[in-house]
Amino acid sequence: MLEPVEDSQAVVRPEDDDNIDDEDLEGANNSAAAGAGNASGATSNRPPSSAFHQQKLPAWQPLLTAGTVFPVFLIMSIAFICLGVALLLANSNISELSIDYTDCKRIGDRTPCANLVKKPEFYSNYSVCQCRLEFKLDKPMTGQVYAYYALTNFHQNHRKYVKSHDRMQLSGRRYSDLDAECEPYRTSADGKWIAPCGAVANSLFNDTFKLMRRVGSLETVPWTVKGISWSADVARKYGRVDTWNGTAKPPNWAVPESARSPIGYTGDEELQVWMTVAALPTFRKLHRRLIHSDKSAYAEGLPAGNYSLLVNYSYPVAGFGGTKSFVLATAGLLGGRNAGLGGLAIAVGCLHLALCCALAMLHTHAKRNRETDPYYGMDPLHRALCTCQEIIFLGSVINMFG
Amino acid sequence: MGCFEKLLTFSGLKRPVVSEFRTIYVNHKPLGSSRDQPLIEEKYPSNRIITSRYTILSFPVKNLLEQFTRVANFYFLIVAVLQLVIDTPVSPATSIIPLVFVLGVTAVKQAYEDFLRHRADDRVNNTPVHVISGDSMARIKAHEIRVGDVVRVHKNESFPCDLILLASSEESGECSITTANLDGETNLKTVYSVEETKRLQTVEAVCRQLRAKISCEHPTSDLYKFKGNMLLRRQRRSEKPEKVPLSAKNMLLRGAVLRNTEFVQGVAIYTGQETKMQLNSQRGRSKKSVVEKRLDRFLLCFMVFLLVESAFCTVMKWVYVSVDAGISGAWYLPSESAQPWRVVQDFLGFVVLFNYLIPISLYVTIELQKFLGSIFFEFDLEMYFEDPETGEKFRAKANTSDLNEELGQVQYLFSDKTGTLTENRMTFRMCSINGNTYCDVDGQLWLTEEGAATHQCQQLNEAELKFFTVLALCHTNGVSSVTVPDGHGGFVLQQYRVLQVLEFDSDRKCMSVILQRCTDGSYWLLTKGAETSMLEKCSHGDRDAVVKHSGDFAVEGLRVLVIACKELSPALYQQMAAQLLAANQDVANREALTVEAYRVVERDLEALGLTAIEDELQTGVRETITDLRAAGIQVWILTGDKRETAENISLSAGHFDDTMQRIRIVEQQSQAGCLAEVRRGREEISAGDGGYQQAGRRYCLVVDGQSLQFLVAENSAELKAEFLALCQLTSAVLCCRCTPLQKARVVAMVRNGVEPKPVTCAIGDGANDVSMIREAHVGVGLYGKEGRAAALNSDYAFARFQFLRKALLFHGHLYYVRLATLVQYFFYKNVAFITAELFYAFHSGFSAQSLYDTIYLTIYNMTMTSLPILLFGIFEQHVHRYRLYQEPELYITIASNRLLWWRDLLIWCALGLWHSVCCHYGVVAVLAVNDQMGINATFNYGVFEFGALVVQCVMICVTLRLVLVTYSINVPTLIGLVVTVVGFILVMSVYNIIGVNFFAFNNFLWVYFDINKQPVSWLIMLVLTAVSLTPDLLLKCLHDSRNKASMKELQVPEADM
Repeated sequence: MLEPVEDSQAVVRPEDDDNIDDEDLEGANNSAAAGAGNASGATSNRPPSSAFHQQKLPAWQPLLTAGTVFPVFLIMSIAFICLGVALLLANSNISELSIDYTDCKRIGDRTPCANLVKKPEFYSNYSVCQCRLEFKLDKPMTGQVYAYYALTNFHQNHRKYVKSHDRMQLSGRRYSDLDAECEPYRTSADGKWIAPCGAVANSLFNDTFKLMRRVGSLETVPWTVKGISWSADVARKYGRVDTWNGTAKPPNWAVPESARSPIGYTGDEELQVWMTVAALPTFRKLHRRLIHSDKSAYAEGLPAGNYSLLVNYSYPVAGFGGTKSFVLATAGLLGGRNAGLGGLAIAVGCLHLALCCALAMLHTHAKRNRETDPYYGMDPLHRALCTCQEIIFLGSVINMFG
Repeated sequence: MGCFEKLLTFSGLKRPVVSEFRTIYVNHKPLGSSRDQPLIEEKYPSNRIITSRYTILSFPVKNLLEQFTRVANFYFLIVAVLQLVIDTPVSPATSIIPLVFVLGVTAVKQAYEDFLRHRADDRVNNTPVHVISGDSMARIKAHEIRVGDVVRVHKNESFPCDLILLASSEESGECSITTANLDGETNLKTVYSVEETKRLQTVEAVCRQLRAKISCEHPTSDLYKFKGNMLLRRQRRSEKPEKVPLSAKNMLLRGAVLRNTEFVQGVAIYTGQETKMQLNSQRGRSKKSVVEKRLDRFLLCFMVFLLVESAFCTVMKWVYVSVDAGISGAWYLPSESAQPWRVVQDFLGFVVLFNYLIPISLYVTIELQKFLGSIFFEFDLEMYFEDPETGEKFRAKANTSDLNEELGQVQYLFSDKTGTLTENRMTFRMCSINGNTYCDVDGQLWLTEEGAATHQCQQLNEAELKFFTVLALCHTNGVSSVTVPDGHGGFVLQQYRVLQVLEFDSDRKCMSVILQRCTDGSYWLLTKGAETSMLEKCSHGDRDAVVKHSGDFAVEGLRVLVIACKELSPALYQQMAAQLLAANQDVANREALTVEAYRVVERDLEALGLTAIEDELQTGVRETITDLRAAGIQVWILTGDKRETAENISLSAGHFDDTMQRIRIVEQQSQAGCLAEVRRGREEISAGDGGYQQAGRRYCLVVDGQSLQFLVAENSAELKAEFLALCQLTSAVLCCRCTPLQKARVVAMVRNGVEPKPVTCAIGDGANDVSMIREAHVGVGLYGKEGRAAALNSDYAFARFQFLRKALLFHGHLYYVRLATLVQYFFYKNVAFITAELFYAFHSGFSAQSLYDTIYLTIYNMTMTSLPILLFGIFEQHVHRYRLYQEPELYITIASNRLLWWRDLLIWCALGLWHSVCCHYGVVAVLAVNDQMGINATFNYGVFEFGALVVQCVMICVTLRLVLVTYSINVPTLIGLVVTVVGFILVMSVYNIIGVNFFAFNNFLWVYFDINKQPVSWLIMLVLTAVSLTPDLLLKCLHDSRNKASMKELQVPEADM
């Protein structure tokens, strides 16, 4: 093994003392003989006596029993319930209004737009089905208001979809010889490089909205597309494009990227938002930020009242059973309105509280019966769970395999 | 023609022509005087010692090939190749980088080991030696010695190769050597020159006068046997060359050291790898521990599960594509059709994706854990021994680290007696002369009656005198004079000439010397030996007293030697001497002829009496055996000693106790007899059982070698089974009068015969225990007085029997618990990690989209979760160490691989599954509601952010779970945690910034920083960790309460508080 070459067997005899070399010789020989591990008197073979070498390092050896664990659960349950309540309270201050407009009907003939905008062909024909939705905001939304669109059953996370883009192209460092993963949206029929290439870009969400407030007449609510993309993405992932020569628009697009953003991808925040592929088939994406200029009616947010939403409906979702929604919402410290986290925290808190009570009862019960308990000294949890364990793990059944 | 034959030989098509003998021309000079006849010498290997396995050139290829013979490595190579070929869902880097890492770690370890071997080899090979070459003396390096060279070795140097002694500085041509490096014997041994060459002491003499040819056998590993002869021709004489026999007595072995002699000259006959020392240093079979066997089955099971899982996902994918509107109507996806190759690729893609079920770094972690763990075995001061007599210092030694955990699984212990349980230090206690018994009281000889010393012997009578004279002369030490009382109060010196030494062998079980008394020239044969063999040889003298007293002495646990002598007639001696000479010259039949010659003289002896020698028990033997038995280990003692002695030692060693009923199967002459005895024993036990269960515990079994011969014979399956059944009913077994082979057979019988298959351990100190040590699952060797053979051939070696307690109950127990937990943890952490990929498949339409980025798949096993578990595997002590000593019963709790039952694996995997469910669906529960959860509303948890969040939850869970199962949280453990976390942050930061472009998967830019900037991420991690670890906490609580309930008061020595 790795034992350094050690001298062995050299039982130093008095007559050996005149020869110094012999220890080396013997040591060398011995190592070849797979070395017995004992050494001569000259070099001490005594192992170090430190706590480390003797495996006696001071160590904390925590033992948990019902008695010690129930306070832990108590503390955790209190903490999580408080956290959950705080989160839910904070959440309730965030306003959100979601309007599902999948089935909205075309202005005029009242044909459901979903029936018209059904086939992908419709999408690539750049037709528009205009529809209008009326809604009432009971309470004003205070603070910065955002407009989102939300899709369901849309698999942006499908592998074929996720990988179908070219990061180098989007960052402005590549114009041609695009990533093969972009196929079949890599080159156009006439051999030009599609900018931006790939399935993600090709399926860019293209419904447009116009939000109007009814104050006697209809007043357009001002909003902007600037600042809807995660600022880190704008700066780091999307670049400028010097020339659009030799490029073609994605087949499904109505206008080429040069028309959307002449400076390049860094200026097309809608595209950037879309390109951040969602993790789950249900997702929402930021569409517009409302402009809250000081003197306007929207300085404090979105006032209560009646609103009208004009939709240019051209994104087909009926084919894959999806829905589309328009969402108006404010945001809190943690982000959008989301009761999930608060609910989860309260659930965990309650679970721990229940466990805490159970353990505490077992613990005190055992204390009461100290005199009469034939199993005194045995931990109550152990007794209670011993029987459960067999049931839980189906011990005997499983052992048959072992 | 010659060329063609060589080619055939080289290519293995033709057996090389090997002559029966090796022919060596001493000093490369032809025997004949004619100079024109060219000398044809055979080619032999050089004297270079190679214990290393690689050279710099061969290392990369050879090491890689060796590593890929491991199934796991080969498997991952295939996966990596697959990833390069198919449309892979994750980058090939996820397989290649960990594989390279694993191979690299192993290669570094092996390279380091080989470097040490190279260094050791170089030291040996470059030692300067003096060689007579041509006509002068030259100084060359040891590895340059060729067969036939005449080598000069000086005092206290060791011999560089196997030599035949030609001459020494002594007139007699003798020299003294020690062979401690070879067999551990430290006494001086005398080697003799060939009579005809012993005067060739100078360089000149050798060059001018020596013309010789040696014929000898091909190299064998037997250190004590050598056959050969030398044809000699003095230069000036031209008559027929003389033929001189050569034996082991003329041989100087590599590794032995020259003592007390100025110099010797010898001719090299075996060099390099062919020396007896090298032939003896080959390691035995590699043993595989029960943990590893179980591990292989786990892996197989996981592999099957992996395939099932992948097949399921492949089917689901195409079901989704064809049935579910969500995918089939998804116009935004590039279309696919179910071509066969496409489906195969999908299947393989899922295999690659879920590949993490098979933990790639498991083997390398186990290897490191065992290797580092075994270092602590050698550090143990409580297993370190300094011999107070010789001053030798012995560390415990792990010759292998492969079997560490097996030390914690031992169920049967087979122990040698002499030198293992006892000191192997013979102290004269009693003797019997002429029907009287005597004992030793403080160095004085006292006459005894009925076991009590009655009076001191002032004057020795004739019989006593004869007895002690024989005792003084009958040995191999070369003393040839003795001072005896002259009967008038004075002393006279009697001188003898030693004519022959008839050395001890285990067949004759005796040794003799033949002396000639100088005063009257009479020949005497003096013999001593074991009483069974001696009684046959003795025809007169007080045989009855010998029989009676040898029994009496044996009962007291003493070893008995019978002393006998006889006067030889000169004629008989001459006849015998002639026979011996003839035997020595006959290379082929030397042994048989020698034994025949011995037999002629060793008979009709006069029994003078016997000596009784005590071999004291080692300290702590009784406690050790008691503890080991309490630990559920069946102890068997296998000894070559006679029954009475062995039973007695067993009693005093606590192996037997007085309440045990002894069942004896002794002196059976046939299989049938044995069978009857075995059945009788079983009936006795079942009859005496009386219906209550523990009754069988009171029996012990004594078997002797003669009966054992039938019981363990190859062809007696039925008898063997019955015998084993009987053995299992008794609580202690003693086999006496065993030969080494029988010892090994007994071990093999238990090893293969008992169901369920037990783990056996054999411990011994002598060369006769080697076969048993190799046969057992775990072989333990003691550094004994009988040499190093046992220690060298063992898996673990130390100096005292009592250290076994610490080795098994402490080290073994801890090694096992650590390794078992490590194995379980590995499967657990990979289940916790990779199952989320399966869950995610349900969200991503079974498109094999990976939840985790390349970086996580690459480093999860390498840096994210490896260090804490490795340190756990080295430093964990799940109970206080004194508890392990005080409660040997704890050893039973881990018996039969208890921590690696399928049930335990299932519990671990269930927890892994739970953690995976919590981490994945917890994140889903939050983000499915709204994925716009950044500090500013523009942040969105996309695919990569989602995966990064899940993986961080998983990492926290698996790390904290390890903390929860750790019972000794100490500095190294904490350092491991800190290093892991800091390392993770560093690796992720670097990756995050440079956005490494692994095979064009580069979506991860800034994701790591982005998600960790969001408070939501931290809250999710907090809540999910709490909910994940709740069952772990309850399980630990359950486990700890159970342990606490069964715990006794712990007594810790003051010094170790």
